[in-house]
Amino acid sequence: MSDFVAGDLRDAVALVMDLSLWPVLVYFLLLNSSYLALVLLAAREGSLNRRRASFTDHDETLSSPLTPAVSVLVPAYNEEAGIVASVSALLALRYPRHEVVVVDDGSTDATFARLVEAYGLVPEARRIPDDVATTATVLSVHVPADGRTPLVVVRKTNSGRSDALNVAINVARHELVCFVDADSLLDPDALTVVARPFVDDPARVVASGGVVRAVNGSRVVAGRVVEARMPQGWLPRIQVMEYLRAFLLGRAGWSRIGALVLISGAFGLYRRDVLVEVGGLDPTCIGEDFELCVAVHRAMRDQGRDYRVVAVSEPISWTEVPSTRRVLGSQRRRWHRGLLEVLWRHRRMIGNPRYGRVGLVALPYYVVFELLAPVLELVGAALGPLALVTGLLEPARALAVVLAVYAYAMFVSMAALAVEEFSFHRYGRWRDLAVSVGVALVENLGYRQLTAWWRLQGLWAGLRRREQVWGVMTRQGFGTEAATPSPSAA
Amino acid sequence: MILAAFGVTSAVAALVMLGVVARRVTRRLREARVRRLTAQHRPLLLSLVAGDPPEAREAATAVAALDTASWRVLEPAVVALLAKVRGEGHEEVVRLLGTRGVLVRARRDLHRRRASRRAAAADLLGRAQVPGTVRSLVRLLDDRDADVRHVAARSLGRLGSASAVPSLLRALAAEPPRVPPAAVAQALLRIGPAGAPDLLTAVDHPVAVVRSTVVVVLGRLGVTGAGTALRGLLAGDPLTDVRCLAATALGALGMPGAVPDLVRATRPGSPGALRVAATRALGDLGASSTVAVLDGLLHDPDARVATEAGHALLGLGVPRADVLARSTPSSVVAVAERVPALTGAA
Repeated sequence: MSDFVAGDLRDAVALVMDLSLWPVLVYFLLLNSSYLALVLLAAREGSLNRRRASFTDHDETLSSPLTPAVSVLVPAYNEEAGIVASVSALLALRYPRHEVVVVDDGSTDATFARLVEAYGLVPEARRIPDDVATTATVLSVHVPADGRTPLVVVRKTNSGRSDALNVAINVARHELVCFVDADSLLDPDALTVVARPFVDDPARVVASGGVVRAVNGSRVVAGRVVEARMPQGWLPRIQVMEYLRAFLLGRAGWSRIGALVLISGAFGLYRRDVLVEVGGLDPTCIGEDFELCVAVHRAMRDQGRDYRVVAVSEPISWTEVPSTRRVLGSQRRRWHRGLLEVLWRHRRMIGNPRYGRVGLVALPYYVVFELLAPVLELVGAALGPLALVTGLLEPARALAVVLAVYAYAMFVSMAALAVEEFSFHRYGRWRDLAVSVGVALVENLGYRQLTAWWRLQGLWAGLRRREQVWGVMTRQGFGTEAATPSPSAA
Repeated sequence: MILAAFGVTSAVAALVMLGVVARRVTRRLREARVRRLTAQHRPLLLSLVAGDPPEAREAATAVAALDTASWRVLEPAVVALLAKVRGEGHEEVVRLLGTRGVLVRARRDLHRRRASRRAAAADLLGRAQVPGTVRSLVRLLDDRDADVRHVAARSLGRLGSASAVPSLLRALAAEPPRVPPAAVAQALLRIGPAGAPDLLTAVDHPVAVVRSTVVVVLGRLGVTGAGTALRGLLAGDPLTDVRCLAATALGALGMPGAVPDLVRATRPGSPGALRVAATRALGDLGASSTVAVLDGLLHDPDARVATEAGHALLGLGVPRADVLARSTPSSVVAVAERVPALTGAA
């Protein structure tokens, strides 16, 4: 009887193997090939940028009378550790005319007190326009007593990041608005470079996104990253590589083919009037950055407007990435759930020629290679051992398949490292290069499967429409004097 | 076959890493060489741009006599000096570049196949302000590469020749513009009032981006003769954006005669953006006669107009307490304890 059952199981596994082994393998091949294609597109862009360096004049943007003024919008919730360093760095950005609007989203810590102390804030009676709908109650508006510092601090009841940004959009006085996370540090020229597409092509550019990198482990002095370094723990180290692939290379690649659908909320610049047109960020959506960018594409295409959404690869916003499994898991579950929500909300665009490359290439890609990736990765991870146990796959052959998939993924990471070294070379120390190679070797052994599991959980929570949970990111804060100690890994 | 694929992929990955290491090593060696040579010759370069004429000439002779390998390393540092010095120092650097054949090479490079070479050459000729290159640069405004056209416009501005103004405006009038409006505006500003006659004739150009760019430049240059034309655009241009820019330009010009036109533009029937721009312009204009109007705008139902009115009043030096007193609780009111300096000044 048990032989009979074992035989049935074996037959079932054999059937599943027959049906899925090659599709899963082809999927992995296509997935990594798509990464490679994006890396190559970014390499091309990097090469052009290097050649342009000899005749590019960034000061032109600074001195041009047509450079649009920018309102830098910073939502802050319990950011007492780093808010002053962050705002100081934002105020000191090299840009002809910009203001910083901080929205204290009902913080329960000393976020506001730190700002009052640092900038001598005094209350200002101000009626805030209602260009974008908001749900929170604005409690008060404050400005520095010196009358010169272009800073506005808005206190409001807690209503979440998206609503806080919508309040900030209403408060913003300038024609461009830049979203920056309170825990981010921007390079001094970041705003100048990310605004450059608006200066060069004012009629068409409606949004541009900068690069976000992991700050963990780097030397920070006076709110500036003075030396990029690899962090201590493997969890943040692997995220450094992930951010490199996703921001520096992936988005530059999508931008190059005119199909960029994701601008990070940690560093993105939009035309204010376009944001007002699409109603600002959707507070009911957990993937609000992605949703906003897709909504902008949709609105522009629906109106038949000639427009551009671009990524710039040079200016950098540095952000602290999770260093514990708990926080990272929560982040990845949230991201994946957000991805599902946005793709479902804008499903009409997927495969729709009316939306050009966004509808025909980018969004289908996100469905197949992002949304479904954890399902297929875990199916692949489960099938292998099962096939080995049931004797359907010879160990030597199984090993060969695993090695081939692993080698290709490692090659893509190496290619990304090469683009970083040739175009940007931010990580100057030899030991950081060695660690990066180590990351490329180990990230597919456990980490990738772990994040796939978290993403699958996010997908499942989204499908079951469970209550959205943001989770808490524990900040280490940035030092403002000498080099800061690296945040320790879990 | 799968194992072979693994082997090939691993080998390629290893090669890529070797390439990365090789790149890092060569870059560091090159940077070290540049640092060493630049430090070695820094006194000469300083004498070149900041020394007395005989000292500068002597330094120029010494640098001109450097061997080719050393010059190749130093050349970028010498070219970079063009952006940092003016007057005699600038002339010395240009003479040195001429002696080393850099300028002749740049003229030749204007016709190279590779766009980055053409752009770099155009940039150098502009920085060096080499006479007789205006025509070549004007031709580059029609180059097939956008970067080259952009750099050509910038260099024409640096050369400061008013004869380039019509060509710059033509590049702007193409659909889409062959050069970014900001680059043209910057070039026109560098050319200065000498280009004003051509700018004035372009105020009613049929292409909106030409009109808007010209309006901005006229305002920035302070061409007072443009007042009538700008008032015409403020009142009747079909595009709100152009009307807003005209308002801003009139504010920058500071002509009291424009106050009635700006006040009209702030009235409720005008587009919201124009009302905001005109309110701001009334503040920029700085005439005392605008205070009463701005007072009234403090109560405007449009929060943006009211905000601008508050800021404008503070900018005009109206004391904070007065602004608060003139405002109703629901209006923008500018400020509580803000701007002590302005308060005192008022």
